Amino acid sequence: MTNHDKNLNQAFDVENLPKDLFTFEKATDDAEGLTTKPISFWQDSMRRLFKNYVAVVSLLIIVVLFLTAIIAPMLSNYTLTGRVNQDYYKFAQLPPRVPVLEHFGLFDGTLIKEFTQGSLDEVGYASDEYKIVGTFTRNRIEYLKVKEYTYKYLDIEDRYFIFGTDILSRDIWTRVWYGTSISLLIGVYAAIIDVLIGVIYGGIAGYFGGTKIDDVMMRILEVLYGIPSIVILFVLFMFLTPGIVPIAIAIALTGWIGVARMIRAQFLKLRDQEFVLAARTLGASDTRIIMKHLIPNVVAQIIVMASFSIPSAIFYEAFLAFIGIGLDLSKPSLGVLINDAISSTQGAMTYVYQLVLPSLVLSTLMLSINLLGNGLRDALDPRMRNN
Amino acid sequence: MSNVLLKVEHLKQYFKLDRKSKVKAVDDVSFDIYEGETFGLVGESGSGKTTIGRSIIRLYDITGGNVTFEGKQASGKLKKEERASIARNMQMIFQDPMACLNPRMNIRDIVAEGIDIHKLAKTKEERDEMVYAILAKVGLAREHAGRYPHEFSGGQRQRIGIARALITNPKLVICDEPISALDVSIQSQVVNLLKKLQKELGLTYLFIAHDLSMVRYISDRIAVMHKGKIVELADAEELYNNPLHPYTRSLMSAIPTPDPKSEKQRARFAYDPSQHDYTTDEPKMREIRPKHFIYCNEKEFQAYQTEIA
Ligand SMILES: Nc1ncnc2c1ncn2[C@@H]1O[C@H](COP(=O)(O)OP(=O)(O)OP(=O)(O)O)[C@@H](O)[C@H]1O
Ligand SMILES: [Mg+2]
Repeated sequence: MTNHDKNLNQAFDVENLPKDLFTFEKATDDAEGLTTKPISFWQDSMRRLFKNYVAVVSLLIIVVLFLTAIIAPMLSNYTLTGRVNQDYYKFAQLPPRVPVLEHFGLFDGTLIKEFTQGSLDEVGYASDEYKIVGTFTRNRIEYLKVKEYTYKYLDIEDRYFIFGTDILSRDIWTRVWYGTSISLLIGVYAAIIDVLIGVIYGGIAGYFGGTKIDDVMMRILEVLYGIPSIVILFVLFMFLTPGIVPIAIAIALTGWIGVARMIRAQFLKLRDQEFVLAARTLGASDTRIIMKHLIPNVVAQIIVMASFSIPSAIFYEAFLAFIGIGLDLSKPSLGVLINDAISSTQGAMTYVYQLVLPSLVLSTLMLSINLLGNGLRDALDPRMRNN
Repeated sequence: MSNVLLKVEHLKQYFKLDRKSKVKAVDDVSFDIYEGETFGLVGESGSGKTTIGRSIIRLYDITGGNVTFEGKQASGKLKKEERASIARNMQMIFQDPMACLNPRMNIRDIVAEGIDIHKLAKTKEERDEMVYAILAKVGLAREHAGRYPHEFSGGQRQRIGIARALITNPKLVICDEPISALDVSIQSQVVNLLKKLQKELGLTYLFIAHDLSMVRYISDRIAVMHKGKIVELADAEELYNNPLHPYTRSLMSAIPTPDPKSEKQRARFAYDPSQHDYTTDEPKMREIRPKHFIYCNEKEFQAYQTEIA
C-alpha cells in the first residue's frame, strides 16, 4: 500500500463505515439509454432548429411581420383605397413621419426637392419651412437641393403618416401591411396547392414506380416541365379574373412539379426499405403503408419544400404584378404597390420612399422565410441524422 | 421428422432488367420445410437466397412454381382471408437493423403493427400488455416501448424486429441473414435468442446466411444455393461430413478452423462451374443417400456414388 492509499484509508476508515449510509441499487443490465426521456424525431428537430439562431431570428421576424400585417390595417384610421383627407392635393405624396424618430432626423416628414433659384422663390416657403442643403449644375443650369419641411409647409404638423401617402393621398402604411397580408396569402395558398398536387401526383407515381402508371405520369410531367411557365400564366390570365386564389393557382400550376419529383423519388426509395417490406409481410394495406410508413417519412421534406415554395410564390407574384400581369387593384399585393409606386412617381428620387418601403418589407419577408427554410432543412434533413 | 409445413415446388423468380434481358434470381427450386425444424439456406451473395424468402412470403409475384403452406395454396391469387392468414402465420426478420424499423414510429407502434393490422387486441391496455409481453420475451424492458429506433443499438434493433415478427404468433419465420450486419459479439446472443424462442414457441425457421459456420450451429437441414439453384441439400451434420457437390466443398474450404495446425493446412479452392457438362445429359436433384440430395446429371451421379461407396 502506498502512503497515499494509507492516508485515504485513514481519512475514510473504509472498514468501519456506517452501513446505514448505503442503500442497494438494483443494477439493470439494460439501463442504457433509459436515463433520458424518449425523444421523437420532431422534438429532436425542433431542438436543433432552436439552436440555430439565424432561423430563430427569421422566425421572429416572420411572426412580427405576420402579426403586423394582420393588426396594422385593423388599427389604422385609414382604409386601403380611401383618401386620408378630403383635401386631395394637400395630402398627396406626403413623406413618412414617425413620432419620436423625427427628432433624430429619421422619418421626419421632409422631402428633398430640386429647384432653380427662380422656382424656389415662386413657391414662397416661409423661412423655417425649408433648408438649402446643396447645389449642383445640370445642363449648365444651377439647381438648389432643398429640404422641405412638408408637414410644416402644408400646415398639418399635427398629423403623422408613418409611411407617408401616395399620389392619390392614400395612407401607405395601411396599404403596405394590407399588401403584405395579400402577398403572404398568395404565397401560402400557392405553397398549399403546390404541396397538395405534388404529394398526390408524386406519391402515386412513386408508389407504383416502375409500372406503366408511373411511366405515363412522368412523361406528362416532363412535357409540362418543358412549357415555359410564363406561357402557361399568360394563357391562364386570359380566362381567369384576377384575384388572390386564381393567382395562387396559376403560380402553383408551375410550381408543383418540383414537389412531385421529390416525393416520387422519396417514395421509390422508401418503398423498398425493409421496414416497408416488414409492414407488407404483416399484411398492411396500401393505404396503411402510405399513411403510416411513407408519408411520415417525407413530411420533413414536404415542410422544407413548402417553406421554399412560399417565398418563391410571393416573389413570382410580385414579379408578375411588376410586369403588369394579374394585377388586381382592389386587392393590391406588395408587388402591385411597388408597380404603383414606380408608375406614379416616375422614378423621382424625391418620392423614392413610396418604392423603398414596400420593397423593403417584401425583401425582409422573403429573406426571413428563406432563412427559416434553410434552418428547417438543416434541422429536418434525415441525411444529417444517424439513422 | 414431423409434418411438412412449407412445400416449395419448382419455384421460379425472374426479374426483368429491360425489355430483352432478365435475371433468373431463382430458377426451378424445390424443397420442403418440416414443422419445428430450422432449414438453413446458404450461398454466396447474389445466389438468390433473399429472393426465395421474399417470394415465399409473397413480397414478389412469382414467375412460376407453387408454394404450399400448411397444406394450403400460398402462392398466386388468393382470397383476402387467405392472405391475412398467411400474413399472420408467416413472418420475416430482416438483415439490416438500421433499415428495418420505421424511424418515425416508436417501438410500441412498431411492435404492435401486427396487432393493429389483424385487430388482435380489443383495448389499448390489451395491446400494450401484448407488446410488453413480447418485448420481455426478446429481452427488452417495457420502458423501451416509448422510445424511437435511433436510440437503440444494432442488436437491440434486431430484437425489436424479432418482436414485431413474433407478435402475430407465426408458425414459420424467415430469417434473412438476421445477424450478418451485427457485431460478432452480438451475433451469438441473437442466434441464442432465436433458438430459445424456437423452443418456447414451437417456431419453424427458414434461416438464410451466406457462410456455413453459423448455419451449421443453428440448422437441422441445410440447402446450398448457387446462381438461383439449390445444388445440395442434406442434414446439417451429413452435409458437413460428406459434402459432395464441388460448390459445397469450396464453401467448406472457406470456413476457418479454430485449430492453428489444421488452419495452416487448410487450402481454399474456388468453384468452377465449367467442370459440369450439361449439354446432353440433363441435371436434376437426385437423392444420393437417404435425405441427401444433389444437383447433378446421370454421369455425375454415378461418379458421386462410387466416391461415397
Ligand atoms: N427486385 C429485383 N430486381 C432485379 N433484380 C433483382 C431484384 N432482386 C434481386 N435481384 C437480382 O437477383 C439476384 C439474387 O439476388 P438476392 O438478393 O436474392 O441474392 P442473395 O443471395 O440474397 O444475396 P446477398 O447474400 O447479397 O443478400 C441478384 O443477381 C440480384 O441482382
Ligand atoms: Mg440477401
